[in-house]
Formats: sequence, C-alpha cells, structure tokens
Amino acid sequence: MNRLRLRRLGIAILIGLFAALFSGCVPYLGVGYDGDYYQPYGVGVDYVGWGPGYRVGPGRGGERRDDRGEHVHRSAPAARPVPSVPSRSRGGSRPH
Amino acid sequence: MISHWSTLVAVAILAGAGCRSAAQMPALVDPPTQVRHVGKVIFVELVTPDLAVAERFYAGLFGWTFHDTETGATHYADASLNGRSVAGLIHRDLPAGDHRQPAWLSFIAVRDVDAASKVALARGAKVLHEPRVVPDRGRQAILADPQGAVFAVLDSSSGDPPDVLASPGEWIWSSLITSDPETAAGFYQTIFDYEVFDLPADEGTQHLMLTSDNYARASANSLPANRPNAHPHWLNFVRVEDTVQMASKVVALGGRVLVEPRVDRQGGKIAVVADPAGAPFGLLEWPEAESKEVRK
Repeated sequence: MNRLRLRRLGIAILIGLFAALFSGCVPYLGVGYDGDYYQPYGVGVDYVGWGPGYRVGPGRGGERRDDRGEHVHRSAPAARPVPSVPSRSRGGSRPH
Repeated sequence: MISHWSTLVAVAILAGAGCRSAAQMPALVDPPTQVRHVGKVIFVELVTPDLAVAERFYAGLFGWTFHDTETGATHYADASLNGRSVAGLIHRDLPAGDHRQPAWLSFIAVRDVDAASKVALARGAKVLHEPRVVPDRGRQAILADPQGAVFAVLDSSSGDPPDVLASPGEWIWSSLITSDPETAAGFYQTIFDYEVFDLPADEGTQHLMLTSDNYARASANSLPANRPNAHPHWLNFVRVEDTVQMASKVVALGGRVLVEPRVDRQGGKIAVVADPAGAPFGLLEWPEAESKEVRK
C-alpha cells in the first residue's frame, strides 16, 4: 500500500513538474539565461589605423553620396537623400 | 487520491512560481506598443567576466542603475537610465587562457526570427544560437554574418523602442567594421530590407549607410586600410555631451581609449573606448540642434 502511494506521489510530482515546464519556465530550469557569446576572436580588437577620412558615424541628413561603380547591394535611388538618425525628442517635439 | 492531485497541483504551482520569480527579462517597451522598426538596433547586451566591475564602470560613466537577477549559475543585470531599460549585462566566467573577447552584442529588430535566421543561413551566415523564446523579451537568435561579425536578431514581444533622439547615456549608433562592406551590406539588406547609401570614402575604403523607415540605422565600413586582417565586428555608440571629457572619465574608471576623440562625419565627435574587461564601445557627441530633416 505504502509503495503504491509512493508511486502515485512520484507520478504526481512528475506530472506537476511537466506542467510547470509547459507553463512557460522552460528556459530557466537549471540553466538560466544562456547568453554565452563572447566574441570568438582574441582579446583586444585592433583599432589602430583610423585615418582622417575614416568615418563610421551618422551624418546630419542630406549629405553627399558617391554612387560610382557597380555594387553587390542594391543602392538607394539616386534622388534619395541620405537620412540621419531620429531627431524627434522623447516628448514629441523636434529640435529647432 | 484527492491528496495526490492536491500534491500535483501544489508542485505545479510552486515550480511555476519559482521559475517566474527567478529571472524575468525586462520587456523592451513598457507599456507594450507592438510598433515595429525592422533593421533598427533595439537592444544591446554585454557578456562580461566581472559583473560588479562592469556595473561600477557603467554607473560611473553614464549614470546607469542596475537591477540584478540570479538564476541558476547565471547572473544578469538589467541596466536602466531614467527608468528606461538601456542594456543587459551577463556574467559569464572566462577561464584563464581563454582568449575570447568580452563584447557588446547588437540585437537588430525583425518580425520573424526564424525566417531571418533561414535567410541569413542561406546567405552564408552561421547560427551561433538557434532561435529561442526569452520570456518577456521575445524570440531571438544569435548569428555570425558571412565575414564573421556577430549580431543577434530579435522579435520583441513588447514592440520596438520608438524612433526618438537618444538621450545622453543611451545608445545612438551602430557601425559594422568589416572586411567586405559591399557584400555585408547586401547580406544585411536581404535580412532587414535596408536602403543602402554609398558615401564618399578614401581610396581603398568604403563607408555605406544602412537605413530603414527613412532613418539611418547603422554604417558598414571597411576595416582600416592598414589592418585588413582584423576581425569584422559590430561597434555600438552611446550618445554623450562631451566626447573628450567622457574619454577621460573612461580612463579614470579603469577603461581604455582605443581611438582618441576625433571629428567624424558632418561634425559629430566620436571616440572608441573599452571597459575594464576590454569590451569595446563608442562615444558619439551629437548636438541636438543640427540634424536636417530628410523627406522621402
């Protein structure tokens, strides 16, 4: 009798755990949030060699384009001005 | 028998409650909007071997505050500025002799993570982490583009952050620095439907602007001419009010300056720095009054 009770209890616990798993906490049981993505290359990215013309930032909008040559990518239509980053402030107004 | 069913229900409730309280990733947008900005870098996450050192550094530099959670072996800190989530920091041990690089990971908005991953894979990318649901955040996958730059795609369950000017201390810009910007631009264009603008550049280098929703989202740039074998990567920039002053502060807080403050395109002043663990990021001084509205 005791053995039967224990078996039922075990089954109940197993079903309960499965129910918990399917209730949405699958990613967190035991392993936590798995964000293991250290960059695969060696320590110390080399940032030497940025000459005066090496510009990686955004522009202010409408800057000059250079559409010479053929490209692997599809270039934006020639008439399209280069956009900038959003300028609307969080309150909704644009800077003057 | 009733007692067994009671046990079953109790175990289910307790297990479920334990899981939910253990680690909830903060929603990107609160309250949720379901607005989408495909192609926008909507979140960044740092993997670092010393969470406490990283928190001290970024709190001192930008005034970020942190909410720490711990689940199993994972320590996670949600960084906020003025009540808005700005980043996630994850502690991950880096065994001695492991030469991988602590880094900030860019999450780019998509509508369908699985579809984006399939397209990326077909175009030569590697899937580093298969698509998965992160509760309260959304569905995400981590990829390496054909040149090897690591990035993530995210379908945020609460929508994407609005297209507003970043405040000082918030992320404002992302740059891909890669061995083949042309091919890379084509690759990212296929996934995010970017418009690509070719910009003037020095001989032997290329600078391309990737845009969506009529906003500049990122640039794709050649590796510097004298460093053609450096590893392609994404570099994210935080908006600051004074790049020179902030670069000095980085050093005072235990970080390093990798690229000294310099004038970039149309007057924005940038610097590239690294935190005490070596994770690189950029500083971008972006005065509010000078942007020109561009109409489509």
